[in-house]
Parts: sequence; structure tokens; C-alpha cells
Amino acid sequence: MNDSGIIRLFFERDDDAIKYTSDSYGGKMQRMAERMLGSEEDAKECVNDTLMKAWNTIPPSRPDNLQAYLMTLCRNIALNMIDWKKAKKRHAEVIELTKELENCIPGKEYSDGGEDISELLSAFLKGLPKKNRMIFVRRYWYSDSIEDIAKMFGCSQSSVKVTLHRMRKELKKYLEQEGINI
Amino acid sequence: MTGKDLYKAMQNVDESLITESADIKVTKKKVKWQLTERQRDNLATAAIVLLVVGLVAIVPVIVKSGDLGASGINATTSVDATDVAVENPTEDITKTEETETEKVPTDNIIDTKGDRELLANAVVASGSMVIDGRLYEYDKAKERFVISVYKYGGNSLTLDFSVGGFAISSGVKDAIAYNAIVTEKNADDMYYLVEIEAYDYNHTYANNTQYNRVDRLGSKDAKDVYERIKNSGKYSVVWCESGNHSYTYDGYILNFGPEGFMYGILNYEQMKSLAKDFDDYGFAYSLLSKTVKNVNTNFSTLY
Repeated sequence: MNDSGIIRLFFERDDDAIKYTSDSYGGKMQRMAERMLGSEEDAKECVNDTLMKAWNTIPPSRPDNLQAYLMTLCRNIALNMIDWKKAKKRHAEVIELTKELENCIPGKEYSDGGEDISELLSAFLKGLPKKNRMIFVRRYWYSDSIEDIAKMFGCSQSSVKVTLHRMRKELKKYLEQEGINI
Repeated sequence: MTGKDLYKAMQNVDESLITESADIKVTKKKVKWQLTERQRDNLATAAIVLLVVGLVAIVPVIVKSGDLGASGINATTSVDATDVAVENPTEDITKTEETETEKVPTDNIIDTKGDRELLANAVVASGSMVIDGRLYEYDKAKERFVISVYKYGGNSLTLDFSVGGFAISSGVKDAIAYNAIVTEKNADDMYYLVEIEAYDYNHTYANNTQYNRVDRLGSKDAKDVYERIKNSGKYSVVWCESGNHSYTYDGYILNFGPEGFMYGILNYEQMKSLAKDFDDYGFAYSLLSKTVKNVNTNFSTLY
């Protein structure tokens, strides 16, 4: 069933909406949640919560892109579930991702003066070439592995690593230029 | 702010960015299948063996049938079928094999005759940084290729060169030993232009833990490392340059003291040796060129 059909079922309060959503996007959500949480069981719980959240929010929401909508819900729930100490022990990918992003921070200490980092991140990403932007988002938003990203874009893992490395450096420079000071 | 915060902040980036990247179809890379040199050798050998076996079986039959008698050889004459079978066909096959070998692109083979400038120009001009099928960019400002295999302490970033069955994934020690186009068979015939970076640095980890690698290794500074390499007599140092800077890398803030780059022409064994002898130094090695061949390795040391 296509996305518009699934959304229609949500609006009709038909339980099959959950089934079809799970069939279409359950695997993707499970993989992302598992990378973030480092636990299959926690990831299952996260996906179930996501489906429940979708059921409760559609309607009134009518997502333009159902997959992006679900993944956003799922990531948000996973973020709230992360126990960082456990994640470290479980070698969850999210630990590696946060380490990588340390590179982008201008200094040891960050003066959180209320700047909206998300807005800056959006502006930065929009200024990147499309392919690079998508690689960055797949890595740091969807938490995809380097291997998976390389497969998606038909390039080598080394190419993805180099691209990400350069973008992190650019982001750091960008944040500095935007007045994010030590 | 931490990387964790930044990761969380990604949650609220513009929705269009998430949508744009939501459904990416997996791109299958077209791989042009090509025999490696070793496979060609094996194939040629197999062909020779089959031909020999075939002729050994057939020639006696032909001789007995008297066909050779018609061309002046008496059917009762003792003919060494093996000689007949082996000599001529082998020559033919060998010729074929040589022809194939000649077809192997040699564009990247550079004979610099030891001239530093020529070497540098040739490396740049040859596009010899084709690794994993891609040409790496040459940074004109820094006068070097932007590709490196780094290893900083326990934290490493390794670029995966994966060609001919070798996948490099476990750090400098392995990475230094193989270049993208090198197979075990031809490795000994090749030389590599290698960049070696050395520094005496103090790590400041993200958690502010200080880590002085130089002290631990008993090396005073980068110059000391140079001297060790230079004086080992194993390596031909091409030129060196030095400077100071700080650098943030994968969560580490590296405060480098005197730092320098050293360029050397190394063969396969030297590369392995370098990795073995100096792996603990926190070097960064960069393979600048894959097939700098026939170079005169008696470069004068410019350091």
C-alpha cells in the first residue's frame, strides 16, 4: 500500500494503518533505533511507541512524507530513551556519531547563549551540495553506518569517510563564523 | 556543548532536509571485471598445460596414422611427441601472454631519475592517486594530495583502499603495507612516494585528560623521529618541511609542537618496515603515489 493509502487508513481510524505502516517502515525504524540504542529489544519498544505516536497524531497531522514523519517520531523517542552509559557499553553507533560530531564544536567549552543550533545546522546543510548534504543527514540524522551510506550512494566507504570529515571541518568553521565562541 | 548536544540538535533541523534524504535508492556500482595479473598468469599456465596434454595425446595418433609421413617424416621414425608438443605451442602462448602484459596501462609509471621537481610534477601530472577507482584531489596550496591514512594514538581513521582482494581496515600498520593497485606479486617491483608526518604532541582528550605520547615513547620531538628514520639507513628521504599547529581531530585536540612532513621513496619492503619500526609514533602516513618506478633512491636529504 502506498503512503497516501496508509494515511487514509489513519484518518479512517482503521487499525490496518498500523499494520501497513509497520510493513512499510518498521524495518527502517527498527534499524535506526537499534543503531541509536544498541539494543534490539529497546529498538522494538521504540518502534512500537512510534507507531502509537503516529496513531495518536495522524490525524490531525497529514504528513507530506510519511517516512520522514515516522523517522522523526522514532528518532525523537529513541533520543529520549537513550541511556548514554548503557549505549557506550553496548557499543551503540550513536556513541561513535557523537564522537564524530565533537569535531564540529569550536572549542572545549561552548557558551550556550541561546543560539539555535538547529537553525544554524539547517542553514549550513542547505548550503552544501545535495549529495554531501544527504550523506551528512543520513549519517547524523538517520544514524546510518558508513557501509550503508556507501551502498546508497554507490561509492566507497573511504569516500564517505572523507566527505564526512570535510563537512565536519566545514561545519566547525561555519559555527565559528556564526559567533559560536569558546 | 558536546557532540551529544549537536547530535540531539540535528533532531530539529529543517524537515525538508529529512524528507529529501528519506528514501534513497541503493545505487549499484557497475564493476568492470578484469583479470588480475596473477589470474592471467594462472590462466596462461592452465592453457599451456591443457595444450601440452592435448598434443601429447594427439600427436602419437597422428604419427601412427601416417599423416606426418606424408610431410617427409617416416611413420616408423621415432618421434618425440612431447618435444613437438611442448616447444612450439609454448612459444606461441608465451608470446600471447607478453602481448597481454604490454596492454596493462603503464601511464602511472614514472621514471623521475631522482629529480625532485620532476618527481613532484610527475606525481601531480600522472593522476597517480587513483585509488579505489577515484582520483584524489591535489591540494595546490599545500602541494600535496588530500588523502591520508591517519592513526592518532588509539583512535584511528583508516581509509579503505580495497582493490584486488586487499581491504585495508585495521590501521596504519596494514595500510602502509599495501597500495591500492599492489598485489603481492608485483609489490616488490614498485616504489611509493610516501609522506610521513611526525610530531611531538600532547593529546588533550575531549574529557581534558592529558596524554603525552612523546614522553611515553621517549622521543623528544619530531626531529628526533626524523633522525631515527634518516639514520636507520633504510629509507630515502626526499625532503622535509616543518611547522607548528594545533588541530582538532575526531574528538581529540592535538596540540602539535614542531611538526614536519617528510617525503620518501620507499619500496614495498621498506614500507612494511617503516610501519613495523615506527608504528608507535603516532605518525600519519600518506601514500602519495602508487607507481613511482625506477626512481633513483639516492636522494639527498634536504632536512
